[in-house]
Amino acid sequence: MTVAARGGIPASMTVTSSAQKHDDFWPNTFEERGAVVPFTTPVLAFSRLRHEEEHGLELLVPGLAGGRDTYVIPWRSVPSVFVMTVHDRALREEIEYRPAATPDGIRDASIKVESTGLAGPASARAAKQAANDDDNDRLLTNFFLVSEAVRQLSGGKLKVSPADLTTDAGRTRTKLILSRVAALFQLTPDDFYARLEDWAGMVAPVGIPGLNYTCRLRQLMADLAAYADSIEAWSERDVTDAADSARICARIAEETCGTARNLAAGIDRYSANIRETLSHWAPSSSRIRALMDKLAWTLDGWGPVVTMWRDVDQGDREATQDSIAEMLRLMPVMPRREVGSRARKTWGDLSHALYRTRVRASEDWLSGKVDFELVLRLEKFKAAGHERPGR
Amino acid sequence: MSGPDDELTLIEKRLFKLAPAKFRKIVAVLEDRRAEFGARGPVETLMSKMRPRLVRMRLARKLTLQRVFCRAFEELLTDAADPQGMGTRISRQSIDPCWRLFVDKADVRRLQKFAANLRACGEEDTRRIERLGRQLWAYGAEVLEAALRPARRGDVVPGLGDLSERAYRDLLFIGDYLQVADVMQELKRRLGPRPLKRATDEHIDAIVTALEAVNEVDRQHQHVIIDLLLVWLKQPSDIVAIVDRIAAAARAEIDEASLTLASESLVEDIETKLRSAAEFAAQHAHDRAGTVRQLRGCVSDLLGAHGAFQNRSSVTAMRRLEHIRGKVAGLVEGHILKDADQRILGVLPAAQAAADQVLSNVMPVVMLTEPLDAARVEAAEDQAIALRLCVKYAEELGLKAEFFDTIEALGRTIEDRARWAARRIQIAALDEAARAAVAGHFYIAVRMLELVCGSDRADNLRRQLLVAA
Repeated sequence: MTVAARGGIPASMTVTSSAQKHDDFWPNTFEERGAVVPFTTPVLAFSRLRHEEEHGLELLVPGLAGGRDTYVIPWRSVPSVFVMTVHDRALREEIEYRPAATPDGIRDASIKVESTGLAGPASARAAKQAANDDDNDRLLTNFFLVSEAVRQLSGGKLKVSPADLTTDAGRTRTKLILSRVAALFQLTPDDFYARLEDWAGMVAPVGIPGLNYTCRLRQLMADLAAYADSIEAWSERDVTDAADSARICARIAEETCGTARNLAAGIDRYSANIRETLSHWAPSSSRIRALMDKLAWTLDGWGPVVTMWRDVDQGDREATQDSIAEMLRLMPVMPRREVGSRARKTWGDLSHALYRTRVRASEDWLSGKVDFELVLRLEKFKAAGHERPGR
Repeated sequence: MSGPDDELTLIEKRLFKLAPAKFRKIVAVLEDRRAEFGARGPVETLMSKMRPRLVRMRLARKLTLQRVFCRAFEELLTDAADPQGMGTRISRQSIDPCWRLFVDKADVRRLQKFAANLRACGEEDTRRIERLGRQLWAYGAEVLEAALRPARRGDVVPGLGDLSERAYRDLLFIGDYLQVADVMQELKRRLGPRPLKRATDEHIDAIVTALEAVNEVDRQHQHVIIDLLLVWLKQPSDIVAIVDRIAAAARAEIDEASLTLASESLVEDIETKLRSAAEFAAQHAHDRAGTVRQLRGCVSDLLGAHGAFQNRSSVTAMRRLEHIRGKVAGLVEGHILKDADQRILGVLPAAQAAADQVLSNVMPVVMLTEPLDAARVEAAEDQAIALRLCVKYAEELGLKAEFFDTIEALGRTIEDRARWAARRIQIAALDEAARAAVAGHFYIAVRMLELVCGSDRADNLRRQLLVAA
């Protein structure tokens, strides 16, 4: 239901009110749910961007003015409605130039803007490191995929090692090996290599099983599982209503983690049988790409939640309870059409429980007034969100 | 290699994952074995790790007379060995020695009767346990008063000499508290769940009623109410305003000593916060934003106290507050305002004075094409954040003009320097690395302007620089 704005909200804004109808707050697709934009303006923090056929880009701001509704604001009107940080103004412009409002596209735009230092030096350092890590994910996945392809396709008789790439003799030997395995598919070594490079480029965020390096999305899955355990354990120790909220967060995290693991297993299966994958490359590659897109959407929005939980001092009970209230506002719910019929009931119940439990979040976040400490905190989140423990 | 601490953490983690029934069983076993290990043994350490969940499952805990005895003042208990800060708190380490003293001085047959009655109570029999508690507290008050009376006169009392200084102080407090335990239970009920965010007229009414009841026992025990309120309030500094409201509503019920106790507690707490902020500033000279964060609690309490004390004729308290305010202002001036411009502007290339114009216009522009100095950027960022965090207290600290002048001058200079550099730089003639360096300098100028003067002004500068670059 789209109704006129109320309660001091400028008339140019609309509000999607879902207070009455269960169905209204459970999106059908990832595209309808939108992708999280890592803004640093507190009132816009963790809002989502989506492309709507009729209206173009729209920003979905949850819980504005403390309510349970989600406000839908035309992307172009955002700067005239809110006082945004300079970082957010630059990020908004950068996103506007990009072709699609996807999690990966928004992440790239965010890294580019963060690297300028507009969200502070720590955030700039972290963004540059994240860009380097992405390169490493790509390089290592690529190399591992090549060596795994050689191993599988030669029946374990041939091997390519990193040392081979450091000498002329090694490189010549590698080319020879590649030309032998490429011949199995009637490909030139260059075409064969390009195919593997394309594949590695697609799966780099999650890596390949056996790779002795944890790539970004696989790390996020591990973080998500740890988050589910940790918040569940916390709920056992708390005596207030926040314990119930924490249990809902834990359930949603567990379910999402299960879905993400299934998707990752589906992606991994292609590298377990490289001959089969390369033999039917066109359908395989489009399927891999679709799975990767779905995985990125599934995990979208969890980075800030995991970071927020990691950041909170659990010794400070009240601060922890406040963080849980914030998390309820941010919880990414799997859309209706993206889950199987068996999981649909579970997700429907979780969406409903989430909506019922959602409480008025900390006023500071939603007052519309720029609270400078919160801006700094969000900048810190951005930097921490790029971290990979144990790197 | 894992030490005992790691093992405890592991056990703690696993305990929280156990089903409630299993958890209850483990608690029962541990409690049975507790006496074998004493008050500071491994069982006690483990129990303290389990306390949050024990609180949640309170009814499932094995009821002992000692536990019922402590229920009267349980909100005032703390794990700290020697609690500091506002109001009186009782260290958990004092419970065992105080309980032992009580048991030594009490009539064994009466204690046995209490224990038998308690054994007869079911876990869910809360009303009966509460009634038994009230009897035990009244008896405890009687026994402790009898034991402490000679000590207050200066006579030697066997058993008291074995107590640590902290345990002795806690014993005196428990003695006072138990004499009004009934009143305090009723007050707790009427105050509602902790923390109390705002005291309503009903709450004030409840406190006045409690004061009347305490006064009937002994006016000297009014401090117990103040101490209880301090643990109940979300903002302990609200205590001054609350006692003021009580004084306005029922002046006869609250003594000057209690009014003073509330103000003294608050002023002492502010002084402690100021000391700790000053120590932080001395030890972390380069963390100015950190110093402001340390000062923040102190300043907001100071302002709150100042407002509350305005109706009070306590000249001493006001003088102490003024003194603290002067010290805070001094710390802010010397640590946050002084040389702020040098630290912030240090990252921006500057045109030199007209006298050496020839050289000066070259050097700063050359500097622009060099990569940023990370350490200077960090220092400028820290300084600008400190300034921004502090500005909202400027007026109350009497530093409004100083802050206003500093911020205005900084804003103008940042804009002038950035525009000056943008006019002179020949972007097209630069290689990629130099262009990236120039962009970095421009973005730093925008960031500094945003931190100091706000987002709108900074975004205007960004747009001008984007056109130039």
